[in-house]
Amino acid sequence: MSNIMNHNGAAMLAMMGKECVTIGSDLTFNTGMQHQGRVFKVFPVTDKILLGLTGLFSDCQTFYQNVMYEVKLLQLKEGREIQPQHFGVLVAHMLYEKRFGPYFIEPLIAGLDEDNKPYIANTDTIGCLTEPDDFLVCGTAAEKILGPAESFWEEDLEAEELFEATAQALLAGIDRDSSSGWGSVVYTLTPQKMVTRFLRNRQD
Amino acid sequence: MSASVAPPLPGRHSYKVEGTNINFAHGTTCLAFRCNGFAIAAADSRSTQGETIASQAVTKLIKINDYIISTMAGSAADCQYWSRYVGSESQLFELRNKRRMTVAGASKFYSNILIQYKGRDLSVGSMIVGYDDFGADLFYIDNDGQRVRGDIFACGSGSTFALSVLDQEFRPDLTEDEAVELARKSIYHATHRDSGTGGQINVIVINEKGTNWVVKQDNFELFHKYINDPSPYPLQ
Amino acid sequence: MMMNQLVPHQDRNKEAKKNEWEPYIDNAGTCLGFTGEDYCVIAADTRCSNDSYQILSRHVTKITKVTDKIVLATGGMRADYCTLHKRINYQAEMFRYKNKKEISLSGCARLLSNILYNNRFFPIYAFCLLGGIDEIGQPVLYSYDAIGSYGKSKVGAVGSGGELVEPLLDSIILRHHRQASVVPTISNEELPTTRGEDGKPIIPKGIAIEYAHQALVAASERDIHTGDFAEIYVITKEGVERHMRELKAD
Repeated sequence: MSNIMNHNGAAMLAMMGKECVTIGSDLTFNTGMQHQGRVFKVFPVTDKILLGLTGLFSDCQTFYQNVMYEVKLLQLKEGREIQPQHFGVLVAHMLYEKRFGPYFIEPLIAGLDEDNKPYIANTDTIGCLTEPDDFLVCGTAAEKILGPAESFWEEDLEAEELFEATAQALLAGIDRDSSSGWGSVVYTLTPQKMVTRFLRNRQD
Repeated sequence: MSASVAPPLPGRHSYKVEGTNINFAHGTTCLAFRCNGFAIAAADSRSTQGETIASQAVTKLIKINDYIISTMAGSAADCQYWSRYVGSESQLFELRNKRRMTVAGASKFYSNILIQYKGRDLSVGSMIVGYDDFGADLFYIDNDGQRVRGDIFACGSGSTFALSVLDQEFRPDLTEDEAVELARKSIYHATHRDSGTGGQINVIVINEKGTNWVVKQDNFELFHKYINDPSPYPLQ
Repeated sequence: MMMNQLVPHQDRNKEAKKNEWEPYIDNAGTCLGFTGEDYCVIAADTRCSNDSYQILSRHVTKITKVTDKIVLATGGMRADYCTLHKRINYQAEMFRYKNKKEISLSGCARLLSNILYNNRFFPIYAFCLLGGIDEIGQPVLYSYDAIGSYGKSKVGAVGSGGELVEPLLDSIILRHHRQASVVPTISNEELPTTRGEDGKPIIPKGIAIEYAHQALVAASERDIHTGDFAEIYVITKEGVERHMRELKAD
């Protein structure tokens, strides 16, 4: 709890399926050891890109505003929507810009590109981009989600199965982490639509 | 966590193993109070190692004997071991003297042990709750050697939350049922707001018949009973 | 206080630590355990690694059989837990000679707690899981911290991969958050069909062994100190079975 990255607490997981991605997070907003209330930690960027931010929540909000400025500017300039791959690079660049006074955040990006190819990525606090083709975890509960996620994830899951795997891994991890919880939400992104589902969590 | 640790004193170095439940005073809520004719001890059941929840079903109310309970905050091993030790001594006392050890006696005995180990990094913050020939009695003891008699005590990271609920409705003339409900509510609100507190809510009543474990409920069951939140989710 | 924490704390205490004798090495590895209807499963990997990234051995056992009904698995420092295993086995043997019967599980659990607490001020760097069949034939698992606090638990995991494995066991063994209303569940999982009184499925022994293996596979995938082989002990009334499975060796 002495670490600034763990001050607000978060659990986040993104998984990649067959023409679909999911991203889930808990809802708690901690300060140190107190649960203060609930906030959303996954932010919409475009219709097909979601940005999850863990770490210091004030930095998360600031960073989201800054990144949206760039995204919208690009939209106006070029009249097209940013692709998730490019968005990943943008985020990495914006974080590395602040190399010696970093944002205390770890972003997680999930999206579908124009060919409906799923894309997930995350970076560390100073913008080292990783783009795996299975799943990614972030936040204080990262290690605890990693075990179940490793066991539940498979290649080419359909949207419903992928949601189930995400939800189960997320719930299992959150229950073993004291500073995340208080409800959670999972977004399932398919070419047709985005589905938002709230999960019943322990409230302690 | 490691940043603020003072350098070890020469000569009296005691080693610590990371991942041990040392100092989980920062992650618990225990409370105890005394009414006319009975006493209540209540606690949550979460044990944390850093931010990880090591267990959600720990028994933090330790039976010293049939009439005395000690609550557990601090290092789990210290509390368990020395409560066990006081328990066996209280049994021997009973065999030798043909009467039960008083709560004052047991807590004094416990406290004396802690004083002997003072300065050696034992970590104990405990309420000794019980019923003896003089009625219900309650003491707070800790590893500094403090031993205080009182009517209401709470300790641990969630104790402020628990006390604020408890203080509002506490009266010495509560009935047993009212007192149990109050204890459950107090611990519940601590589990809800404090991240170091959680799991089950345990309440024990101690009266002239002995100790009686009356509540063992999960936090999850009680959420809709105590928290009246029309929109639990934030607006995006 | 907050300002202090903003500074990366890597350089702090370095000067003080330089000349200090360091009594502990974490040889890492993962142990897990859980109980079923009439059996207790205890499993561990067989890798022994250094504080750095070296593998010292790939064939090291972290588990010892104390009696025909008690098994002890330990993670932490190898020197410490080897000695601890020896001491427990010696005490169990002495009990056998003196009393002409085996030590009970609850007795053994208390004994282990006392041994650990006797080293309170220079702890034995060992995180234990003690499992078996108790006096009334029920399977029980005890989990410990390094200085002897212990408690019964349905599932437990200790060691370097403990954090990864424990929530996984919560999910696949205790079936937390797996109400019937939820979509059938993860497809590759062999679901046991019989259900107990609480509506949760009863896991047969054969599947339990696979679950233990699966959990260690997940741990070895993401924890560099876990791997090589899985050693799985199943304790029933009839005695102790030992199974070996392969894990990742990289």
